[in-house]
Amino acid sequence: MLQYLVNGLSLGAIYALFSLGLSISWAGLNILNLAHGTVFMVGALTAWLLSEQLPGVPFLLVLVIAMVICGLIGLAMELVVFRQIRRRTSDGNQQTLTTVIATVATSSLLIAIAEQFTGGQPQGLSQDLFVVSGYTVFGIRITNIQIAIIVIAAVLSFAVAWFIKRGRQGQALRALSVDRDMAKLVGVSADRLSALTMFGAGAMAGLAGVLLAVQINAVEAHMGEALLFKAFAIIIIAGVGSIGATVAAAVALALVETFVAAYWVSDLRDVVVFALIILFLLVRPQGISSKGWQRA
Amino acid sequence: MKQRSSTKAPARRRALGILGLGVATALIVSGCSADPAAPGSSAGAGIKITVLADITGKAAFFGTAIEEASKYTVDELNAKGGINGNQITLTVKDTASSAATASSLMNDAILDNTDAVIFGVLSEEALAIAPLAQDAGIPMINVQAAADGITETGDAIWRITPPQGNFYPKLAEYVSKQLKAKTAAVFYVTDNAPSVTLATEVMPKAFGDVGISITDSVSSSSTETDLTTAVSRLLAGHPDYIQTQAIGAQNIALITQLRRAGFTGGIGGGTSLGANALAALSPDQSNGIVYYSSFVGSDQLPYASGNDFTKAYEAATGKQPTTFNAETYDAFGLIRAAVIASGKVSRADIVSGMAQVASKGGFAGAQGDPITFKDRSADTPGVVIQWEDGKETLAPGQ
Amino acid sequence: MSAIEITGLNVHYGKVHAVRDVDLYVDQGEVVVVVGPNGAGKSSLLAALSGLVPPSSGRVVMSGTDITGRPAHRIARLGLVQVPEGRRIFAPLTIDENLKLGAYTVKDRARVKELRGTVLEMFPILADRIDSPAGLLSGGEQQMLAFGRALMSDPHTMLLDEPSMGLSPALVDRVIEAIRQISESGLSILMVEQNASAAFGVANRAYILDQGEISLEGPVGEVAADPRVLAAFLGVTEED
Ligand SMILES: Nc1ncnc2c1ncn2[C@@H]1O[C@H](COP(=O)(O)OP(=O)(O)OP(=O)(O)O)[C@@H](O)[C@H]1O
Ligand SMILES: [Mg+2]
Repeated sequence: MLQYLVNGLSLGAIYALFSLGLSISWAGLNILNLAHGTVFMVGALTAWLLSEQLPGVPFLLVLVIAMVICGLIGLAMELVVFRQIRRRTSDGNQQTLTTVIATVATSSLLIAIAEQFTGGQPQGLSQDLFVVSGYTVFGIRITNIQIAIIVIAAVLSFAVAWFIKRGRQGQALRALSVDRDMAKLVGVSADRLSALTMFGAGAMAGLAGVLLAVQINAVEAHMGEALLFKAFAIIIIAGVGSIGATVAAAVALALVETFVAAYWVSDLRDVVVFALIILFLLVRPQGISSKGWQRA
Repeated sequence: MKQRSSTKAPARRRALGILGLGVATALIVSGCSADPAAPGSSAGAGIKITVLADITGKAAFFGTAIEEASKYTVDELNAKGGINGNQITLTVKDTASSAATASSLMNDAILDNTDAVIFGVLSEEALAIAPLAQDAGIPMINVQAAADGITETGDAIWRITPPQGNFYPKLAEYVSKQLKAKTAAVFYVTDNAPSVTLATEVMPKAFGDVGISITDSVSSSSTETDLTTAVSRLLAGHPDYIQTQAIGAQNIALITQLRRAGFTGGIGGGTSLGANALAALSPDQSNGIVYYSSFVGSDQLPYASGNDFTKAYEAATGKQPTTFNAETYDAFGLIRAAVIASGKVSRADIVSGMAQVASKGGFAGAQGDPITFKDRSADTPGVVIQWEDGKETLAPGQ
Repeated sequence: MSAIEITGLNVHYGKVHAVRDVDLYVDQGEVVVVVGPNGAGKSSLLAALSGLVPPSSGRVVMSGTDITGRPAHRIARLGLVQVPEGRRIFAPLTIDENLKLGAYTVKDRARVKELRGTVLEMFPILADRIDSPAGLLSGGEQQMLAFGRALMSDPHTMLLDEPSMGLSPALVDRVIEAIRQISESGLSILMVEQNASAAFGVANRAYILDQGEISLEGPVGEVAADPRVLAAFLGVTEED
């Protein structure tokens, strides 16, 4: 019982790290980034490549490099794709649709590149990159990477929530999501803030990618896809852009999944996730947090 | 009209010309490599074999193995004078792991007088192209492609990979006798029909027959990245042995987490475990893991034709042959046996020849001596492979 | 030196020629009103000033600095602020957050505090509801918030786009009063309006904009007395 609680918590932490960036770019910039899962995979792939090419490379350095690379991918998407789409059309629906299609294309491109590196095969991460050790406390098994994941996710969640609620740029981002032109009129550099947001979202996805890769010891070009599906469920449950609710929904979903898998039929977990998505879309389409900070 | 078009776009014409030249060059080059000059060529009319393999795409690993083994086998057969005096012309085409591409390549093969097709590996492609082959009366031999309903398409469609269920009795015997296991748990993926049948029907029966009881049977979808709970559940019953019937990345994740959780018992899996997962693990986590397959690249096999293949393949390529290499070799072996049985090389003759081979007790190949057939599918008992320091070895006691 | 000086300004949206060869200036401390009917190009004129749309030709000089074609957020930093049509407050954010965003360009924290004090004193209703979402305010209150947000940027020039739109006569008076107060604090104001009578009460000079072109300009008294203006904007015919 407690064991499954710990398992669910560490899974929820990964979900939260992954979902936050997706939720923020969706809420703040109206970018539904279907390449978010792929950026996550690039984080894992970077860790694998670095540990293969430079045996003995410090884990923290790998973490930072992977985050920077994934941040830069987010940034590049903003500069090369999203910004151009915004320039070309002022019709909001058109922008949203074109943006989504562009993220799908970006995702396929990144996966194709990743498959060149992995040879289309799953790859194991070098065990020296991060030596995983397990502890048993009161009969509950937990590993150092699980602890790291939970702590990092908790700290980052608070930091992001504070940033969005109180930070100057966070407030500007919320303003941007409500009314992009008005935000410019009060002096917000919409372009720079969008770039910053995409960098941050990418970096967080990359961080989650490295952490999960270490935990499961496997890297594979399609590893982000399942997570993207879970993140959608989380955002639908939480409401777009609400940080606290996103983290809560991430942990709740992970716990539900874990308990379904533990005490019921384990492969029904995705069915339960689907059912939750549909239930929320029917009953509470705005998500649990009615005070989503974007569209009123 | 003619004049207008010729003045229209000289740049494009030039580009087309270059492209045409490139295609021609490619054809010549590939023609050279596919049609090795055989010394002392014989009187036969020649036999044309097309290999359709997943050289790129998600099954690229297997397709590449098939391509390599095809080249090796054709070189070897042609050097010995071909099949019944017929030199083999080999064409290898990449299906890109896509059923659509595979279909169009199969149609090409039907039109260009190919005598026999060897295909590998994805079931979804095989299901798409088997009816085309059957309609054209062209013999098609499948490597892997384990789904139901493929060989059932008709008398021209054969499978050189035995059904995985065949291998379970040997694995169960090994786990019981060598690992001394009394209890076992199994992990499997639910979105792969063969893996469900194996884990829920075949394995419990085979293990039950040797007195091993199953403590838990844990499933997941193949895309799931979180296996912590599956691991907790598998370990909850303290089994002596854990069998995994999953796909690549999940196998890696599962085995890693089982070992990290302190599980020291035996771990085993299915045919592709070695290729797919164990190579990616560190030796301390992967050494001693066992899995079944139709073949292992060993010279200690209990039949000479297998040992001969291993030695010859290693001598020619410098590499230990894999299951997929062996199956490809045997696919050519089946065609060879069919031509010898019927005495002729036409499509219909090969189809009837294969039936004769099957009814007369099979032929000697890499996977067995003899390789027999049941419902047009190879029917050998397989071997248990043990992974040691990045290599496949024949597990002891066989 | 004028607070704003526009020469030969044109704005195009594709084939639509919204602003045609407009010359206009606002002197330091002046209140200038541009009156025009729907679709005259009033908002387009202001958008070109504050950098939301790039002018197709012409020059915009603000206190001696050429700002033609600069991006909106840079122009905002130079002390030009716009209260746009329909107020455009950040509805889901609190009043406090709206005001903070108004001061986005002000780096000095003490100055922000000071500005906040002034704004809340001028519009006490905002102080009462400081932590509630701005979207819950009434139309008139939202207009006050829009003024307050604009003032938080410590501007020297303010652009107002139809501040009386959609308000009851009593609230219009309140708005005009606020504009007078703001003007008295030393700001230069350029206001565009359809409601000429209200605007004329507070302005020094007026322009009439019709189909993108300035058709009349001069001191408020003269412009208001023009028969065409009387007929078109003040609802007065010559017989009256
Ligand atoms: N983004 C745009 N794209 C295309 N045409 C536009 C755009 N904005 C305004 N227009 C057109 O430009 C002309 C001037 O519009 P503008 O909004 O400046 O007028 P206005 O005087 O502010 O009108 P109102 O009193 O209704 O606010 C109109 O014909 C309008 O249709
Ligand atoms: Mg307007």
